[in-house]
Amino acid sequence: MSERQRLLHKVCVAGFAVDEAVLFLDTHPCDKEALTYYEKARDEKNQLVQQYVEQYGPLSADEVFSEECWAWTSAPWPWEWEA
Amino acid sequence: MWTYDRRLQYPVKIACPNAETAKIIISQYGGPDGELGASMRYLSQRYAMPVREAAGLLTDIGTEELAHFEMIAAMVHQLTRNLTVEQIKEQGFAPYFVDHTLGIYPVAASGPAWTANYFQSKGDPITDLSEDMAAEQKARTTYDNILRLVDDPDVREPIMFLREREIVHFQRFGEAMRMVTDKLDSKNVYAFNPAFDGGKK
Repeated sequence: MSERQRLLHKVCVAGFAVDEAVLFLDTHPCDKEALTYYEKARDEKNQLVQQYVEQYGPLSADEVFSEECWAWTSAPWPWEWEA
Repeated sequence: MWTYDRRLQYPVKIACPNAETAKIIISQYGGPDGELGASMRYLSQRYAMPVREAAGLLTDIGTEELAHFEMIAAMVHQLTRNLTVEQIKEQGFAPYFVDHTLGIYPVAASGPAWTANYFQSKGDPITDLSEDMAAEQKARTTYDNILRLVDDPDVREPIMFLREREIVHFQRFGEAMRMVTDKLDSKNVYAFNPAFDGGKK
């Protein structure tokens, strides 16, 4: 696994924590512990996403900072073996 | 609206292509209890939810199901990469191949193409949430069956993740059901349909 793949894996783990907290909060909207967990998970995810985008390129189309060529389509797509 | 995140919800990295396994896995792409039907079911049903929390849950689970739909496609795609015609014939993939080559198309493992007949949107929250809970269990059984049929750990790991998600979604839908019935007449929750007869909150 490359350094890029390792960081992407961390983004997925952090992203999953947010996904799970969101569903829990949908049916437990005033659970203080869950709200705190959500905020922490979201901040961790955002930080990892920012780190990934700065080092390896966009994870969403509004994170494309291309000077010469459109970087959104140049890297492997997530379903590819190479991703 | 939706935006796309350029990553899978859980990684899919399958070292050994295997068309026989692809043929089984694809049922969760376009089969009767698959991820496409799940997503379409929840995203269609949410408009008739009188309780905001339930509409939110259907939106968020319906969105997560699209991510699962993508994971299954990634698995089928990787399981069928670089196959020779000989391997396609030997591994029983010829019937799919003749119609779709190695493109991804929503079909059940048993053959039929995906249809909206796989789900309902009944416009009654108790009815729809009951279907949703059953749907999660049917998908969980399908994943259990896949785990009985497939030995490759590269396939089993993402399948076990998806199986676990069905159990969590079942739990959340049960909670949403309770939120809906709590707002109805406790002596007879069937007295009226809150999505049609009023009582919207």
